[in-house]
Amino acid sequence: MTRHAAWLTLGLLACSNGKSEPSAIPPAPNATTAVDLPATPAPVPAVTGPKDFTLVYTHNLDGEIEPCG
Amino acid sequence: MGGLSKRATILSREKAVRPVVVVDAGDFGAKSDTIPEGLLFQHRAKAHLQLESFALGGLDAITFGEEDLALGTDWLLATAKELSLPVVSANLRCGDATFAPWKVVERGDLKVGITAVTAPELAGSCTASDPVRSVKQAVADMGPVDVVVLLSHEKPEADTALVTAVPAIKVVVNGHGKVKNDEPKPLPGHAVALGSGSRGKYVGLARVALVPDAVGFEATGGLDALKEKQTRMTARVAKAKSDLEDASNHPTQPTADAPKKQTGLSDVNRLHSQLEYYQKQLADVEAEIAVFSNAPGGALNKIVNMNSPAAQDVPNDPAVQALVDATLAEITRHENEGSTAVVALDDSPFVGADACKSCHEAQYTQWQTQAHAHAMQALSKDGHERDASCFACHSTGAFHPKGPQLPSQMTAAYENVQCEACHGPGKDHVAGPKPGQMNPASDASTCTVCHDGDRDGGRFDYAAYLPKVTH
Repeated sequence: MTRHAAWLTLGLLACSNGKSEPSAIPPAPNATTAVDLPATPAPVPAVTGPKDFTLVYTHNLDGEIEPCG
Repeated sequence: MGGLSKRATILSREKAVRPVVVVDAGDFGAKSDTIPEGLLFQHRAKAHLQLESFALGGLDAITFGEEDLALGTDWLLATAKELSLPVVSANLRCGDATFAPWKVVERGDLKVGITAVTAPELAGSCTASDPVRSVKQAVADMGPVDVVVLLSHEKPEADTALVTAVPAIKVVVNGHGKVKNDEPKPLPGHAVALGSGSRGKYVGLARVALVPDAVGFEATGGLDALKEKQTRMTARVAKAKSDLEDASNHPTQPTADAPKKQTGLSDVNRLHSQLEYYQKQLADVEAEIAVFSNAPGGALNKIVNMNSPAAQDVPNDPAVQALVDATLAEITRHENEGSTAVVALDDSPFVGADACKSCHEAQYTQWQTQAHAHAMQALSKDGHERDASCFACHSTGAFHPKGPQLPSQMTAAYENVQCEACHGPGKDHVAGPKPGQMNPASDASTCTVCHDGDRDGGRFDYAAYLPKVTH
């Protein structure tokens, strides 16, 4: 890395912009074959057990509220 | 890719079809454990927006990391109170303030226990008691639940010790290591570690099916990934051994049929280090496989993870997008009305592209046709022109010791990716041109400071992009 690139790297904060990627919905926990896998982005498989749930989680958002542009 | 309004849409879609438990494991705040005074307003405004959007969509538990505590504990505690955030931490104390050490989320007959922990070295101006002891006590106190989730603000390596010491923990979401585990990673005791990466580009959706009397989780995909790594490392160890043997048997002189076998002592040492590195990698992955291959001794819950991309084709949630737009407008207004002195060109080593034009007109003209010359437009069209997280890659001289440190310190002379963004400051060159003064900017590292595969959504291809800027 060049010297002048180094100061930018050191000072640079998070910045990003977007690239289109296909969204997808994960299979149900009881999905066993490819046939069970739902098409994207819907439908979503129904709950099959009384104690099925989805843990929705995030972390390390790093102050990013949306891509830069 | 990314953004709070797309996160909200992904959450809404999931809530429409399944019971959800929503958590955030911290480091939602500034991307640093120290925040310059001039950036505090921006980072607090963004953090408030993050938390407000969490509250709007429904949040069951959140814990704090060092990036969040850097926002100021008084501010953070006041904001948590204002938004009624469900902050959980088994070991964090900020002044007189402590947090709920655990929480049980109920969905019908389902009970999910959640606890959280922050590493003492990441507690900033707060203090954090012994993580293992604190978590053990929290889990003991929460009573019977169907599954225990740990929000860990520790180094990911420490999670193994935590689940070993507290075997009731079966799901870990690490909020410090920017981990992205597309498949749940096996941990001791048939626990699993989840991770959705950083910067909100993905939302983790772990679909769980609990079975009676389970002793942990299946993580077949994660185990397969480990076995693939084992295969790769086994091959690399074999290759490294072979290379080392060759090097040891053919000292110093290359041959016509093997010109690369130039094997001085430094080569042997390097190959020896390489072999040791791969052997360590192999031993580590084999240890992980061994831990998870143990017979479970009971039934296993099912878990299917999806790190759902907050991609451009995911619609924005209107309510959250309105908050995003309002926050960006507030940041722009604050920056524009701020009293921060601008960094004039006269006071910096930069001269601006117009000064280059007089001698390099052809290059200047070519540059003007490229996106670099209009980079600020890409920010201003979406209201990010005063966003401290964005301006450096769309301007010239940002964060140079004598350049603008804040968006409000920029004059128009610094806007866009000009000549000196790649070739370096030009004041000395203009004063007395000499060969070698300027960076030829002929290698990829000049570009990858900004086009790092993350900020640009992975679009950058050096070979494809270079002809566009060559002049």
